[in-house]
Amino acid sequence: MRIVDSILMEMDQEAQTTKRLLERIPDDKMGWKPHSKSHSLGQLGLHIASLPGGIAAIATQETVEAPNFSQAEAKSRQEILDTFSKSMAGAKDTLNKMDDARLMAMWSLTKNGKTVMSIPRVALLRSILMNHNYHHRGQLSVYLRMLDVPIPSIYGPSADENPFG
Amino acid sequence: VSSNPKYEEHPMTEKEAFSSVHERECKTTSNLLKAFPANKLDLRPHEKSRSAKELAFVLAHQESFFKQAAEGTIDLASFMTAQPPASLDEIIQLLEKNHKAFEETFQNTSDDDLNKMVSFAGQNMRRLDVLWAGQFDLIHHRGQFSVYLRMSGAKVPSIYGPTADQPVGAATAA
Repeated sequence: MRIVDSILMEMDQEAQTTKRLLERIPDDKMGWKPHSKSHSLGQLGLHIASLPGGIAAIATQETVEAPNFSQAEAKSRQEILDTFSKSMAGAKDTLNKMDDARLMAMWSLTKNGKTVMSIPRVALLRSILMNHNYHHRGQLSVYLRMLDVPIPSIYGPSADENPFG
Repeated sequence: VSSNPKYEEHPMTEKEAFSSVHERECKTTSNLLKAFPANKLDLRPHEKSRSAKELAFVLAHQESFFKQAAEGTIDLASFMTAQPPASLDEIIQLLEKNHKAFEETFQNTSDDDLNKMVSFAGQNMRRLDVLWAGQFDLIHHRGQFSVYLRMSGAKVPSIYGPTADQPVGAATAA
């Protein structure tokens, strides 16, 4: 099995959970945020949705200049769901072409042309494409809870749903 | 500049990869717990949510689950009923203690043993698969905790990238 096959399997499995959460985003609360410094619900939703495709695309490069990290706000839940669907398809298509040697080869992040980080591509995918997305999905689960949306099971039971019960 | 030429010489074993990911994530978890105001442990964003104290304890306590998974014996009932200590300081100390105990066990467990099965929630799973699943669950709950931290009014340190308080360049991701 190629390294990328286990990555793709994990992505498919986690995407089902992510989609269940994204589908419950209330359409009329895109600007809502739990704190003035927080991302709005529409920003967080769009960030989660666009991550897989965005990170897979930068992983094809040798060196990437740090982006400005400003995040647009989605106008609707449908925009978030459509973005996620395209982003996942794009990520899978891109990653599927990466052999083990490519995944183990180094990838660099620069800031003003100066290298600030150099890691194997597989570590970029592990940390930023996958773990980083579970982190933001965790944040989204608090946003939805605060908006009185019933929370589906994520890794285990929630206060509303228990797959083991 | 952080660069690790070791990767280019030989691919990591799965045990080494988990250890490297876990070490880094655990340090981030510790940073978040230490950033939380000790007098805001009662913060609860919604009546159905965990309190900040309960959630902080989930993060510290998870290390003891990792140790059980590495050893191949998971006692879920006693794990689920454990209660948090009184103060944030004690929760932080618990994380450090649990993490050290896990690391010792994990480093002394062979790759072969880590590939053996363990019974978890009624299923037989490979120990390393349980460890990865536990790691993702922890990251998920730590993401929840980062919202609590923001709501508490404290500064949020870098987790995977910049935050509203720690811009890009001040810390590097991964």
